[in-house]
Amino acid sequence: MNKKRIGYIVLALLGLGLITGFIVYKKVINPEHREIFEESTDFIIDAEDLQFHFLNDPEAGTLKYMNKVIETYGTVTEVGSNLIIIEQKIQANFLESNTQKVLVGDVIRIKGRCIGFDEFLLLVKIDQATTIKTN
Amino acid sequence: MKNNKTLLLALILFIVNVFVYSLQAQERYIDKSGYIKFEASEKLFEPVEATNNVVTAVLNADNGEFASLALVTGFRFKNSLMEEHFNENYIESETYPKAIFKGKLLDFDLSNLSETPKKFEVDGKLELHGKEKQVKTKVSLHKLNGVIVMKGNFAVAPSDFDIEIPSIVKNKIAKQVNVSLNFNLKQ
Repeated sequence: MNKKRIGYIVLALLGLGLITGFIVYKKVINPEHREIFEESTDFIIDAEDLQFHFLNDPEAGTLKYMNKVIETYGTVTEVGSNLIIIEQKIQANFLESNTQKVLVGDVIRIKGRCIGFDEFLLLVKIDQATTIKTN
Repeated sequence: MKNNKTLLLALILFIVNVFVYSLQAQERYIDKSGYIKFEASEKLFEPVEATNNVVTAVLNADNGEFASLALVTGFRFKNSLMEEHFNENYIESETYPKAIFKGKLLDFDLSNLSETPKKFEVDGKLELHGKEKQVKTKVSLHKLNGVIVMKGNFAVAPSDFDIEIPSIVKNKIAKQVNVSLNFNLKQ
């Protein structure tokens, strides 16, 4: 009886240790990538305003928006194989190529992660984007 | 009469401007989602590599001038923790969000490009982490359906850009970082 009980306790402790080890590995040593689509939005801002903030003061824009989850909207001015350009101001790259359905002239709303400002083309770049709405 | 003359002059200037602008525009080849990969892996340790497919590259086909801009936050690692450390401790992406290369393809001539890859020497400067370093390498170029495809690779050292690698991980990260690139430049 007593031996059996000790056996159970040891087994339970082992199990607990394994689970803890697994959680530590998953959370600390090798955590999952961010799922931008699942995260709550930090800023909702239209394409023109977003670009303006970066044009006006690139450093302040970077500090405020970089690595943040952004929802932005406007008219599509260019469609590439895995990217769209909104009003020649925002470039959004999709995780999966799903731009076939998007046409130039569509009004689109996307969610993604802002990675900064491209001073060559004056585009605010957003990656890991997903389409929220097109019409 | 005088008014008419000014108007005419303005019109001519406008036309010349449009003409010049369209000429310039024609010679610029751009890739908005170019691909860069870097690797600094050491044998037996977890691979240290990341890719960025949101890189901008611009080639002026008139004179071979070439420039590229990568937002460093856009580099994606397999291991998200490595990505976090890269951004926060090594490359310090909040302070230095961009890596910029500006240079020239030597002896570049657009009319020489064909479907067969041809090697060109590139000479330029790479700016990263607030430091600048000269980079000389060779890239291969070919033209396919109006798209100029540029491929190449070069090596840099983190120490060239004052990027300190802490001693605990020193043997897990290679001294030389190999950078490879692939751009599809369109007009």
